[in-house]
Amino acid sequence: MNKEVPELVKRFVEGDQKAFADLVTRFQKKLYALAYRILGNHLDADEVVQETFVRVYRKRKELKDVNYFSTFLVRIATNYAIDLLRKRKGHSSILEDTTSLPGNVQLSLSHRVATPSEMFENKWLMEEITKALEKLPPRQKLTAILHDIEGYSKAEIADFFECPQATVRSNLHIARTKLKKILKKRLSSKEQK
Amino acid sequence: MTCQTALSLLDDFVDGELSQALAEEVSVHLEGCPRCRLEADETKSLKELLRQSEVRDPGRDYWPETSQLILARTVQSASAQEPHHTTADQLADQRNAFVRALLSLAASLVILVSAVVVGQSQKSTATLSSPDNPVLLTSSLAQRLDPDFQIVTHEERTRLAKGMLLMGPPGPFGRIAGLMELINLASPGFTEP
Ligand SMILES: [Zn+2]
Repeated sequence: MNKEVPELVKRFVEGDQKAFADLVTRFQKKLYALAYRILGNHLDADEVVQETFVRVYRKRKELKDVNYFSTFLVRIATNYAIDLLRKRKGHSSILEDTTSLPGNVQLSLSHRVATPSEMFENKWLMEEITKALEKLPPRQKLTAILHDIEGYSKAEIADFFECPQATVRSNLHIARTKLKKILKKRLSSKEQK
Repeated sequence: MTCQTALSLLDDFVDGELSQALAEEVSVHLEGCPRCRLEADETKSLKELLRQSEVRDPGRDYWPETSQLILARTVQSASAQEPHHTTADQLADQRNAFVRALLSLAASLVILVSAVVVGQSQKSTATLSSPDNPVLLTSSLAQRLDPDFQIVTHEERTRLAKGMLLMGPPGPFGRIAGLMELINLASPGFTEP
């Protein structure tokens, strides 16, 4: 599938609208998952997804190398997400009641498939993690999510933020130190297992 | 290896990003140092914990609906203008030029006065359905400082165009732009080149 992406991107930049539609379909889930982790609720995640693609469309001429489409996309998404986070500061995002969301069949976006009892446990875990992440300033929060959850490398994150890798390193270190403190109980109960 | 050195290398050690030689040195230190070992174990557990967090799928219908919305905001609006009209980008540029012109106006103190005047003139002519607060007008102008911000609603564009027509500087980026925008809003496509 990934082999076709550069070709799609090339056509998209040249103005092929079908190619753009295909790219939206291919990347929207990944983008939604990232945005959801950053903002912690469906409405904001949805806004990030839509706005990111609209901006990608408008800025497509700035995309010099088709192989960097994913970086281009995530960079725009993270910048917009940071703006939203700053805007939301003060009235922190509501942890939504996940049972009220449409589509009770979940987890298709997750890294692994959970059993029903794990799902229940996971809801609490998710809330705890979301709350812990919310205590971090935007850059640290995003660095932790991008690196430790989404699996991006430090070099890639430096690309997204257009900053030196050393900055990514220190942000990640501070974020982890804080998270370890906040989630201490979870971590020690895990170590006893 | 000192604890200080070991601790400074721990993140990269846990992330598997050290050279083999250096990683071995750290391993040796950890074997003999419970304090640093605990630190490393906690970082490992934190990463594992974060990886377990899952994102709830917003439902099967969400994806096609969202891509439709995105396409409506980009591709389809561009193709609707064809053949003798403009691309979405040109439209966006045109709007942005309009917004920039408006912002240069906003830079002066005049804007405070004009906001009140526009607010009042809108109330007295009662052409707009919602009672517009002059303060809201200025704050929405502040939002326009973001060059990526698009004027979305018809009502917003009308409001800005009226302000431009009434208070804008003379010339193509001033009152004329306001007038063109108003005409355009009244009969879409009329002023598009
Ligand atoms: Zn030590």
